[in-house]
Amino acid sequence: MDLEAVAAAVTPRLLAYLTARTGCPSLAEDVAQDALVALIQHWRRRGPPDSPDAFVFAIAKRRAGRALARRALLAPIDTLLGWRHAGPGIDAALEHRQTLDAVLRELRRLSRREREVLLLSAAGELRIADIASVVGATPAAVKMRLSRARRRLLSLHQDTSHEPARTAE
Amino acid sequence: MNPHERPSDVETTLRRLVSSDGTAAERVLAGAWSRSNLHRRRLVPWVWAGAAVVAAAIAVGAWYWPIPAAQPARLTITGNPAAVIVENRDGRRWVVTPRSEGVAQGSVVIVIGR
Repeated sequence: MDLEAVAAAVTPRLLAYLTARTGCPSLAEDVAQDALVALIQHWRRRGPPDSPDAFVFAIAKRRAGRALARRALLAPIDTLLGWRHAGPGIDAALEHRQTLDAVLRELRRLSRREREVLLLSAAGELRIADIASVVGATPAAVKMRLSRARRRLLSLHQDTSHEPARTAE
Repeated sequence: MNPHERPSDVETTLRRLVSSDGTAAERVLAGAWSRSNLHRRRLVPWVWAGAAVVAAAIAVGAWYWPIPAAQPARLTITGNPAAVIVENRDGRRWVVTPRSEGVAQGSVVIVIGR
């Protein structure tokens, strides 16, 4: 295994997962970079991990959780002091952003465990075995959670699409 | 195939929305390489500096470490002008007397009868 090739292959998937996890592309880039630095340093010191994907995603998941908590804690202070600033090209990204928010809102209706495996599978494109390693569950449990999450999403979607009809009645 | 084993529409939409362009991935990757190399470069001089400081401390310590001086022998001197007794702590004793005038060496034999 070649470190450069592995890092290059995992980075786009890692970014996609972290964007879905945090809902913020710039935060996703910061956390992805941290996770990649950890992978590179581990590889140089102790050799390649058993599954580089699982290794880097586990670190990314942990750090994303911390970054989100920190952001939630500091957000009121940022707003108060006027530190929050709009990113470049925000108008152009508005529609994309709104669609992403709508999808993430839909995913937030799932339980935390179901949402996690769904994000790792859909955005991170991880294999079941790697997802199991990241979330600390058995592959069978991961398969079950994934299936349950999809079933639940479908039913939620059907409920939402039927709502206007009920309202009209 | 179970329909719930296939990615749902939401997943497909999500994947499309969060898939980044190549530039973002390149930027992140370049940053990660640069940070890890920087960390490495920073670490090496610190290791050498630490080793040099430790070596210097050992050298200075060895130089200034008080070496216990050999303790002088404790001697106790007693006696009188005729005989001076010098006694060491370990129990050895020397008796110093003035040089005798000489042993009489006569040619006289004393015979004591029964």
